[in-house]
Amino acid sequence: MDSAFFLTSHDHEKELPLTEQQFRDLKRARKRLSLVFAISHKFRLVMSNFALIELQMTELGALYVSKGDVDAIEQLKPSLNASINNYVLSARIFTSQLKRHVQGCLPTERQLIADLSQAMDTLYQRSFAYRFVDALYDYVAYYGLSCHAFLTDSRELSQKDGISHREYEFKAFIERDFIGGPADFRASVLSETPQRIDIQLLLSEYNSCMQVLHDKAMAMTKQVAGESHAQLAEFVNVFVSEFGEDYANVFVVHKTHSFGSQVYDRFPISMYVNNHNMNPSPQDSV
Amino acid sequence: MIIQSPVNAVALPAGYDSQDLVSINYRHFALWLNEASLERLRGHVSELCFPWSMTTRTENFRSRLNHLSNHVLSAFEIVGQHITSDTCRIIACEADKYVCSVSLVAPLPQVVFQGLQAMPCPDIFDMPEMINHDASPVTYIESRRQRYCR
Repeated sequence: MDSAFFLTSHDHEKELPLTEQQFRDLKRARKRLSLVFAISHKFRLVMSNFALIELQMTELGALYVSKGDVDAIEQLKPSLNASINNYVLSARIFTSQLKRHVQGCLPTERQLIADLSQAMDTLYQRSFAYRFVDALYDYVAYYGLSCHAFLTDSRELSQKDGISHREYEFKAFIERDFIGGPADFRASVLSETPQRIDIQLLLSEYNSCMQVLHDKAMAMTKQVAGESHAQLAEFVNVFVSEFGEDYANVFVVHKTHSFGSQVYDRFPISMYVNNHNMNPSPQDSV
Repeated sequence: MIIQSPVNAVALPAGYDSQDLVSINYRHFALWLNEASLERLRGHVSELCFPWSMTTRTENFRSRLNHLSNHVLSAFEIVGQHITSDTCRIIACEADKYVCSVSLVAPLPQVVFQGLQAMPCPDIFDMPEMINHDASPVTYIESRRQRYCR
């Protein structure tokens, strides 16, 4: 195949030729960095869905203790259920792809992948929340319902100045009776499921499991991510120094002359070097 | 999670704890006199059960039982006006989709019975029934709380 390799600007106005080896190096670096970013994005997806659940629980709790806006309550209940389903789905997206992403970055490091598998097995064995949310994915994929009951408690608390105020507590539950039997839910998990599960406590524990896996995967891929970033940054800097900052959005292109100079492959690299979304956030901290 | 009291929160009577349980096929709202006050009470526990009238059942169905707390507060106020006194006090006011029940402590059950006879039955209820319980106020409320706090 008669091929040509280039760095190009967004609109193909500017081009810099690449060797085939440079193209291969850039393609590998971009793949590795995109996989590391994917780990972070998926972890953030889980945590963002949890934040949405907490927000909607706060809103629903406030509606229940106020003067009963029936329409607002009945609209918010399915939204909360949707957020919990989204959380469970995003958790499965994270856990099911994690090893594949790390393996894509470190294809020869079989021991590291074995360590990650071991960490996931250990979490499954030690944490009921990990087991339950894992099983809940299959359940909600079939039935679509992940929240069965809400409980609002209130009591008066006395303050030092003698004035008392009322404190409200809101909880959302999954109820074992409504899940069904072993035909509906993973039997080994159902047998250890309590009558009611406090969703916020369950997902908080599950979040800490996700944090462990995320931190472990990020630590494993830290070196290769740094090397890949440096490699991509070098080519972007060369391109920008040649043509100026107006052309900072750089792409790598592989064209084949065999079929009328068609683009055979094209991928962005600036978005991995100058990704403002990937600045460390508190939830990413190890 | 602890939630902030909204500005339009339903005003609940002072000295009472509340619990609102919403599930797929049941709903229960309760006001219970707090433990410190219960421990000071002596007397007989009587429960007045007011079944919902057909009109209220229809309204409850339409509002998906989201107005149950308002009905409980109405019952609390009506019984409070007609039956309670210095020696007769409401210790629980509860409602589910079938019935609203008000439990009182009085020196004798007859005090509650006489008050009930003198009270006009509100439109939201059908004919009430009175049940006497052989339990102290503290034990009685504990058992009521445990019914819904599994």
